[in-house]
Amino acid sequence: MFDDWFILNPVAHAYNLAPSNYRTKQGTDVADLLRALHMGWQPSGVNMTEEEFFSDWSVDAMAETLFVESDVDIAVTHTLRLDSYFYDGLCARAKTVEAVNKYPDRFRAYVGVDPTAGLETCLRELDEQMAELPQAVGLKMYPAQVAPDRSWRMDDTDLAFPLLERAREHGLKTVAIHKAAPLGPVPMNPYRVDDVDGAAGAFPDLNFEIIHAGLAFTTETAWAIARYPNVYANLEVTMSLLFKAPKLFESTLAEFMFWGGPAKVIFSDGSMFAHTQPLLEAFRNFQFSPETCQGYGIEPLTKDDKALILGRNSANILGLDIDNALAKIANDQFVQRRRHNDRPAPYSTWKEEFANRQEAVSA
Amino acid sequence: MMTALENAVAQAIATVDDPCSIAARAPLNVFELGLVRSWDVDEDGDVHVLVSPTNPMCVLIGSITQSIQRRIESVPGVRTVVVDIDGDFLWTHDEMTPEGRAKLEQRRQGSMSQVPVAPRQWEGAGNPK
Repeated sequence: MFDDWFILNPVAHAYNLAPSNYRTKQGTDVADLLRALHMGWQPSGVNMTEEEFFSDWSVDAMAETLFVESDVDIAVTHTLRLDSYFYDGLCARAKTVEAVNKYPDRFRAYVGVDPTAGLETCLRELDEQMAELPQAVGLKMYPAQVAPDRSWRMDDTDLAFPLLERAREHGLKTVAIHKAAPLGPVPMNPYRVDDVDGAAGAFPDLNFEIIHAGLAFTTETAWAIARYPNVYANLEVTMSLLFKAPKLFESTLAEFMFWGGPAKVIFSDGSMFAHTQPLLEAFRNFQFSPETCQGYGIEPLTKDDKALILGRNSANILGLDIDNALAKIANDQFVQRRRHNDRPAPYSTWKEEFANRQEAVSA
Repeated sequence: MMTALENAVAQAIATVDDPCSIAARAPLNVFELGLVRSWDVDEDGDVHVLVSPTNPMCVLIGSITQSIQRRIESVPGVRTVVVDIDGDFLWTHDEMTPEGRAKLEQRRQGSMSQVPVAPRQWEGAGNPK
């Protein structure tokens, strides 16, 4: 527990950023973009070396980074399908399966499909992944692929709606759609958020997370979370503005609070490319200035507001019983390690594992 | 008073619209959006422009600077053009001109009149699941 808050990190992945995984130049560009964010949007000293970063991260390292180096209680790991950028999509399905099977009380899973591959393929793959991982709770998707550029819309009644219908049939609770942050110099239009409206209205019993909410189309996103009870602003990377551009973070969150309120905003960071612990500590200390409160017509954040944002909203989305979840991890291997040792330095676990891996290779 | 050349350069810059504002169906030029930090023209026709993105993560700033460069190069009397990016400047809505803000607000009000929206409107539709 972080203070008295239940922390649910809804976006975590063990990327494979090894250069051998880059399928296209755009894959190289995205890897470089992630590196720039990793180096420039975190506190000084919280980083991996280039060799540690541009490599194939392990599920074990991700778990240690979240649950020992950071005060995360539960995390959601996503199968990523950036298939036109990376040979394994960036975070392979096998890693999601490994995380949930190895640490069932700590990880929840979002399966992933690429709708630009067509409906038939998506339905087949969704069925396969759900057969493999029936405990999955969500579906992660990207709005566009490259080489050649192609995209799809969440309100496409011929493609998206049958897919969402199948997701609902499988019992998935939420759909996480990457928006707002174009992956390289690609057409911006697919990254707009207006198509989420149609899906949210047509599928009121599914939840929809707009990932990277507030990096662009902030007002449009704010209006979406204002109007639809099942649309949420997921702050992956947006949270990191706390370090890179705090005034921008403040105004973005203020707009979301005015339109949607604290029940519609969820903490997120994309760990482990961003380290969770510094963000948790920065958000604990964050408060709106009096000028912002007056200018945006909002109240200062309360402790209850932060509790919602840091975990309770995500728990609601996933239908997670917090007391039950906490009881299951109360004395697990991560808690025991933290009980008997000081908190390890950020990324120290992965650094050690990477060094051992390199040593084994050279031996 | 601006010289004729300065006036022509300013007009050329003002023909460049921000691509995201186009995508949002509220086109604003780079002056209106407050992306131009500074610009000057010397007596030899050498032009220097400094621009900043609205977001440190913007990947379209390259096409914006390229457009500015090309539009200015087409102005008679211009000898050289250098467009630099100020990556450290943190843009906020305060950087927009009053004209830009008015345009954006007009577009948003138009949208709101078509699809009424109120703060926390979702609460009237039931609690989030």
